Amino acid sequence: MTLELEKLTNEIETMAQGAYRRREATNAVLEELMRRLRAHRTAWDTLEEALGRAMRELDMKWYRAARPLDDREPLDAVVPPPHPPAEATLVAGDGSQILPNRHGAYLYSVINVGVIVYYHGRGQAPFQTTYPTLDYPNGDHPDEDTFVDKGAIINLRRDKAEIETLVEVAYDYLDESCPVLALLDQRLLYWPVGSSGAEEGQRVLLSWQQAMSRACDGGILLAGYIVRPAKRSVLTMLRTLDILRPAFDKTQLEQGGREPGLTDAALFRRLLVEPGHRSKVFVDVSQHNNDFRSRDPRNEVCFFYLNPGRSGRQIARVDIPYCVAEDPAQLEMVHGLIYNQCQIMGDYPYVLTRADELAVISGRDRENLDVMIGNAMEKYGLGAAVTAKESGKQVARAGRTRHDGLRRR
Amino acid sequence: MAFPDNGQTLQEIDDVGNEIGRVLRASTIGFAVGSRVNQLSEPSFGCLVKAQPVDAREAIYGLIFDMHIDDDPLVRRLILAENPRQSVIEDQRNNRLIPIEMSALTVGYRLNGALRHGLPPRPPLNLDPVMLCVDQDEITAFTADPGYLRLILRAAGSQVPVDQLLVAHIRHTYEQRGQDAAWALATIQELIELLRSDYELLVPTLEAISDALPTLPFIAELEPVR
Repeated sequence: MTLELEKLTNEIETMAQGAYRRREATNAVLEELMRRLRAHRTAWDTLEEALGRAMRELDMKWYRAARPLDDREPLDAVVPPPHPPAEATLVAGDGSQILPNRHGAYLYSVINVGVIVYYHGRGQAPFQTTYPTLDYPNGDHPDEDTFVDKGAIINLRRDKAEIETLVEVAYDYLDESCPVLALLDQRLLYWPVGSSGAEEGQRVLLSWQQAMSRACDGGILLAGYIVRPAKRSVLTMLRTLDILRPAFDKTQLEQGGREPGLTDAALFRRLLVEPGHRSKVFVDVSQHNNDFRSRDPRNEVCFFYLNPGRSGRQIARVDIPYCVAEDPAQLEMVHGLIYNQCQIMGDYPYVLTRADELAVISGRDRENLDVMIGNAMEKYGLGAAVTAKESGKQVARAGRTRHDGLRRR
Repeated sequence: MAFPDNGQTLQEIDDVGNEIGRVLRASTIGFAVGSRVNQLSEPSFGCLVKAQPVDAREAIYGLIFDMHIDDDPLVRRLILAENPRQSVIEDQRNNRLIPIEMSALTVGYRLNGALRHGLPPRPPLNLDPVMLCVDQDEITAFTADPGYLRLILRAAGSQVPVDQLLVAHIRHTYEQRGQDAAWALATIQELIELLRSDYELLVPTLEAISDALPTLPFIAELEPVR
């Protein structure tokens, strides 16, 4: 049965009214924060004092803010897009996975990483490739139930495979005369969600940080591109100025500002009006970033906001490691090349779109893989079938076909 | 004719270079060919092609009557950008696997080495290679008898643009047979015979042939009088 849309009409209207009211409420807050940003545009000492006090007195487990990377640009800096280098190599990677399906005929998982190498300024077709890997219970997982239950680990391994593959491929293109930008479509300040205590999560985190260090060793311009960022670090930084006022309830800062719609992106949307313009570079202030910095100071994650497109409505965040952020020339190349990529599609890096396309495992791919595995199993008399539940789903979701007639004009 | 070590004839080796794609889907009356962009420079509307199963003694001949170049959401998005970059165009054409689809109308087949103008006993299979017929001897042999024209005409009323297909085929074959005016005139004469009860198709076809082959002698004299 299809979704009966008319039954949702009233709810949709209520939803739109609620969104409008929230926007009106947040507008006033954002205007105040914008005034504060401008008023403290070069108040480096005041900011340092407030942030220092917050980091000393607040629980860093909950306090997440930002600090200015340096005093080269004011807090409200609006940096127009620089010309990208005449030639550069852009390597972009993305990953996808098939999680184990208890109801499938065979139990397995797949991780597929797609990589594209784009030769900026050379007018030639990019190089593309994929790296698929198959895992199954008679591999490292003797217990089938354990294999199914640890589907989350596959997501972690996919993240690990993404950055390691990206950096390895980027190494193949190192050339002193031509910069190499390695681009991911996710944050660089990686933290294994929900598994921070798990052994596998810590292994993946360490591998992630090692890959970042290796990128830095090779002079690779590593960057993570995040659309619709939900970070509130700069807003928290501005609110942290209140800690210098007497009688301020500083525990508010540990809550990180939970008002819906109040994000750094909402603030910078007001500032970065023109396509290609970027914000000042900030450093993430959090326990996670402390961990990154303690293992390799060059990996401390910095970020800037970017207006990537024609519409001017979207704001993206670009994460870069400290080793890139601290060098104005490298920062300029990252800014110029990423915006150059965004211009191809209008508002999103072309190479990331293509990397996603290469990585994605379609339903048809999965069907074909099932057939291949089924054929291999049959050779050993190990034929199996999907469960009745899976079979029922497939039948009900298969869609309908139309009789095409005799195809006469 | 010298034979290479693997037993292939020189003709077969030449054919490899003339591959324009592979069979996507097929029926007894025609087949669709999937091609890469770099295979698109040679085949054109009205060309004679052959689907070549593994057995080189068999082939199914067809005339290209349609070419499709499909889009997808990414291409539509790129169209909106001003002046797409060369590297992006190269990426779309060389890396993204969107096959160019050509449709061929079956006009004959070869079985056990013998050419026949009729529908084949079975269609070609998916992924059978499809070759452009460029060998003059082969084209001359296939077009020597105009019997295959009946198979083109029976497609009238379908999606096949029969009048334009006939014109393109005659012009193309005339050139490939070494500007063989005698063949062209005989073929046109046969068309007049076959279409004598279908002036709606015959008249525009002859007019288009006159435009396409203005140097062909006596063509005006062959036009029917109502």
